[in-house]
Amino acid sequence: MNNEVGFSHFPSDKVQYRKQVQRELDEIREEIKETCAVAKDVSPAPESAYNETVSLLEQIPRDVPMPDMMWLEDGGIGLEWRPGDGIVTMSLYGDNLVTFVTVLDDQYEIAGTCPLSDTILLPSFLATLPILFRENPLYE
Amino acid sequence: MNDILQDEILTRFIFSSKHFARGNQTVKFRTFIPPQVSKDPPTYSDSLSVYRISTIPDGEVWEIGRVHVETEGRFIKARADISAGDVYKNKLKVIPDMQPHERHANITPFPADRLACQRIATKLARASKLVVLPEKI
Repeated sequence: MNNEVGFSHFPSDKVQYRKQVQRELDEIREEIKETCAVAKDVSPAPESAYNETVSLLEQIPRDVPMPDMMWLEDGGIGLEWRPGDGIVTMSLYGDNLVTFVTVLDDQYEIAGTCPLSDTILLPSFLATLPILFRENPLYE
Repeated sequence: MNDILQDEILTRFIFSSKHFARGNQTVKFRTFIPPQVSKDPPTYSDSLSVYRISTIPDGEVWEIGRVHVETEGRFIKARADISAGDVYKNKLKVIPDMQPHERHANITPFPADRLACQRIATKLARASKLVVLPEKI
């Protein structure tokens, strides 16, 4: 179900959510395949990047909308949210690392890279997401 | 065409519908990540190709993209417009290079590592404005 700002809400049913993620990733996989057939400067994302994306999305708190998902030409999968005027991005390349950036205005920024298995930095970062969306009800 | 003022508009062409969102009219951060030059360790080109589009009609902008940016089998779907001032805020410069078109320029110097590139790309995406290719030009 798409809302007015163009991304889907986190489906309440876990099975539905997984299906939606898989559908998005299948589309990305297909588009990379088509692009690689005509462009030499594009690296396909390894299968591990898709698996990491699924694993990361399972950790996203339930009250956070589904991100826009995209392929990155250097062989990764990107995730992006737009809470209000802000922006949150994450990237995964199948090397067990996740890179994340939040920019809310010219002053406020968080950025880092950590292993997907990190038990402090990554959960702390993910815990900020529901707050960003609560503070920007337009996107709820 | 040398001095690039703060309010001059630059554009970056977009090939994939996954790299912009019509719904909330946003450009995805991937649009502003420079090409990768090495995979291991991942390092990136220090410059990102753009075109200077202030003072020219929209149709001419798309024509520049069609002639100078599109490649066989890859077609432009949209573009990200951004002011030079928003680029300068990130301690980047815009250097005109006039090739392959007199309006071509490079945003530089991008940092080489992935995190630093993503930070800048995220900020530029937030500051940019989406323009979707019209059905008829």
